[in-house]
Formats: sequence, structure tokens, C-alpha cells
Amino acid sequence: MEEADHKTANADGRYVLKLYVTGSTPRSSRAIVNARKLLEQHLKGEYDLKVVDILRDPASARRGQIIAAPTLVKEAPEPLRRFIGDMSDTDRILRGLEIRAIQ
Amino acid sequence: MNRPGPGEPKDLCTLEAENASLRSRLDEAEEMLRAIRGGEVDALLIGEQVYTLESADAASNRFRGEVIAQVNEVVIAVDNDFHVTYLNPAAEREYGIDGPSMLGHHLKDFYSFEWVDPNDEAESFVALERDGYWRGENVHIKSSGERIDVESSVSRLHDSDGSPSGYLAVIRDISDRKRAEEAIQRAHEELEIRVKERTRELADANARLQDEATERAAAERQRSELLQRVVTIQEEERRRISIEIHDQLGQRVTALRFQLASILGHDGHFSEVPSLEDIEETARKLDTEVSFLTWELRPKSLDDLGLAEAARSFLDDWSIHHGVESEFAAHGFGERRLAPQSETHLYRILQEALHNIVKHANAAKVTVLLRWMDEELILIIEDDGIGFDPSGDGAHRLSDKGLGLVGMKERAIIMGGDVQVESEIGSGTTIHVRVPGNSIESQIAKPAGN
Repeated sequence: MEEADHKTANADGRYVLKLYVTGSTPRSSRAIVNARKLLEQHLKGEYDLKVVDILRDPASARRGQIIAAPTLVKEAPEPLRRFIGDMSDTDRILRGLEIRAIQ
Repeated sequence: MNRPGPGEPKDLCTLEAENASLRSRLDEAEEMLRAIRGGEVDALLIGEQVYTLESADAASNRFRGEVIAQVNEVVIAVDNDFHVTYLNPAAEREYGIDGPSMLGHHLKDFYSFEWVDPNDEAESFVALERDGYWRGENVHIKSSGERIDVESSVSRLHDSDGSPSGYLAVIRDISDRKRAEEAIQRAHEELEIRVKERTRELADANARLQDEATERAAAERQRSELLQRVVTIQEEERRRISIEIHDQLGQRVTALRFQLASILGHDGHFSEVPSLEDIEETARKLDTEVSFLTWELRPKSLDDLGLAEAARSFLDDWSIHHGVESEFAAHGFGERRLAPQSETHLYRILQEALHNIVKHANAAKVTVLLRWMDEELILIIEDDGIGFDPSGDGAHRLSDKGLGLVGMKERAIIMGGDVQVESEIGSGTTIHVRVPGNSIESQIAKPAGN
């Protein structure tokens, strides 16, 4: 069940991402905005991003093996990758998402 | 792919893949540790316990989050560039969006807005920068196109170092209240209009009533004056008859008494004793004048023959009596008769006019015309006397003499008609009397079918 929950890779090759935040703290807010900006810029129309507030839904965070927030998780395509922080280090995230290689 | 069993040696590819995976996980772990050490995280999660780092009270943070989630007002947080960083469930319901999937998008992706007053926009920014707070009303246009009136309370958000990090807006849909206010406003305006209309109607009605009251008062005053004039006219007639009796009959009776006294030797007024023929002549004149006076008061012919014949007869006798040539014509009478009171009034007007001619006009000829014309009775008395200036003192004097012209006018007014006088010095005088037939004609005496 947990396996099925966090491995939500879809068949059509879309990027499936979750951003775990802590309410609307400044850092979480920045993480949301930065992540959205980056994805819109590089994966527009090819991704699904879901923001999860760990204060309201800690069970979902536990299932995703999240130990800190903000954390961005790329669930699909494999391999699963995690990024911590306010998502301002764009190059690191792009490398991790292997987006530069795709482009 | 068959995985090697425990104790079985792994092939090189498998080992390389496991090595890469372990290296990747190690990198992630190191990265996480670095981030935690570097203060790049807000909270740590151990099991389902959340430990926030800036404020260790995660339960309070969660409680605040739950409260915001429960409120009915829309709560939206955005960064300095208006990217949405937080939406509560009320916002999701109001704008028909899925918050977790839409966070990070620009606010305009959810709704656009219009300012009620164009100046509000600038004022809101000034207030937010100066006071950190603004509250006001504007219109939100959802992506569906629906427009809602909202009341927004917007606060400036700040980072831990105090620098501005965004805005927090609490938004209340006041469309129903606005509609109710507009309905009340419309009802109020309609009421105002109705009150104004009603007030105007009442003012008009009041003005009409006042006009009617004024007219009624004027009519009442006129009626009262007319009654007074009628009484005065009657008094004047009595006075005139009294003078006539005194001047004419009294003189004759005195002369007769003196004549008889002379015959009886009681008085010496006469140088010669009057003969019986003289006395008989005096008595005859007396008889004639009594007859004339009696006839002048109201000739029997007025009752027997009607106005036209009575007027003709009176004019003939008047002409003989005063030695003034006369001519009379009457048209349109046939069987028509006037009400007795109206016949008397017209008869008196004719008498008064002829009386004035004797007293003032020094006329040689008088023409009287009496005719029906377009349901009006017209009486014209025309003389060739000395005339007068109707606009000058002559007319004034004339109106002041006894009741003269004024009396004629009063009688005409009583009948609903009027009197016009045309005159010029040296060119005679014409008096036009016009009275409407419906006010003077006798209903009983009218021929059948008329």
C-alpha cells in the first residue's frame, strides 16, 4: 500500500512531483514558488506537482519517508529523487531531475 | 532478471548498479544533513511527529493551520510577486481550484480583480507599505467569468529578518450583502421618487384646492356683491320712482290743489281763477303721468306679450313722451319666451339706457334692436346724441351717476352676460347687451322639440 502510494509514476512519462512544506512559513512559501517557477520554465505541461502540508497531513509525509521540510520529491520517472531547502538552487535541482540531459 | 541468492557471487553489473544507488542515497543523506545543518529546513519529521525549527511548537502551528482551514473566509498567502503560497479550503471552494496542485502559480491564474474606485489601488499599496495593512472592497472575476463582490483584509508578511516576504489576504464574499444593499438602495430611491411624486401630487392638489377655494371665495364675494347690487338697484329704482312721483305727480297734485283753492277763494296764487277746463286738463295730465309711471314700473304687456313687444311698446311711449324719434326691431323670438326675472332685467336695462339718453345724450333718434343670435340674446340701444369718451372721465362720471351703466352691467352679470359700451364724443353711444340663452330662457315656455 505504501509502496503504491509513493510510487506514482505514470505511464505517459509525465513528471510526478510532491513538495512537502510546513504550512506557509516564509521558507516553505519560497520553496513552493521556486519549485513552481522552475517546473513551469523547464517542464511546462509535462509535470504534476502536488504540495503537501506536513502539519495537516503528517501520515502522507511518513509514507513518503520525508524527514524534513521543505522537501521536493520526484516520484516519476524513476529513479526517485529528493531535494531539500527552498528550491532556490536551480542548477542542483535541474541536475537531479536530469532535465538538462533531456533537453 | 534472476537475482543472485544469498551467498551467491554478484555479477559486475549488479554490483555497479547497487553501488550507484548507494552513492546516490549517500549523496541525498549528505545533502540532507548539510541542509539541516545549514538551516535550510523548517521542520523535521520523526515518525508522524513534526518538529518545527523556528518555533518548536509544532502543535500550535498545526492548531493555527487548522483554525485557518476551518474559517469560512478565504485565506490566501502570496509572495512579493503574487505567487500563491497558501490557500485554505474556503479559497479552494470559492475559486473552484485544487490548492495542493495549484500552489506556486500566480494569483491571476485564480482570479483577476477590479477596483471599485480607481484610486483604491494606489491607496492600498501606500497603506500596505506604510501600515502593513489594508482593508477595502473590490470585485473578483473568477476564471469561470463569475464576478463576486469581496471585502479584503490584506496584511504584509515578513521574513524572520524582517524583510517583506509577501501578503496574506482574508477575503469575504459580500455579493449577497451588496445585492441586498443595492436592493435596499433601489427601494430607497424608488421610495424617494414615490415620496417626491406624492409630495408633488399633494402640492398640486393643495394648489388646486387653494385655487378652488380662492375661486369659490371670489365667486362668493361676487355673489354677495351682486346681491348687494340687486338690493341697491331696487333701492335706486324706488328712489327714482319717488323722485318721479315727487317731481311729476306731486307737482300736478299741488297745481290741482292750488287751482281748486283759487276757485274756492282760499288762495291767491293765480291772477285769474282757473276754469274747470284748466282743472280738467291738470287732472288729465295727472292721469297720464300716473299711467306712465305705473306702466314704467312693470307694464302688463311684459307678462302678456313678452319682452319684445313690451320693449317695442315702451319705446313707442317713451319716444312720444320725450319727443325723441325711435326705431325698434326684434328677430328670432317667435314663440320663445324668457324667464320672467330675465325679462324684467332686460326691460330695466332698456329703461335705464333710455333714461340715460334723456338725461345725458341730447339725442334726436334712438334705435333699439333685440335679437337671438347663436343661442345668445343681443340687445342693442343706439343713439345719435353727444356721446362721451368711454376711457375718460365721461365714462367715470356716467358710472357714478345713480346706478346708470353700473346697474345695467350688474343686471347683465346676474344673467351670466355682459354689457359693452361704444361711444365717441359727438358720435352718439351704442350699448351692447349680450346674455347666454340657457341662463335666461324659460324652460316651460320653450316650444316643444327645441
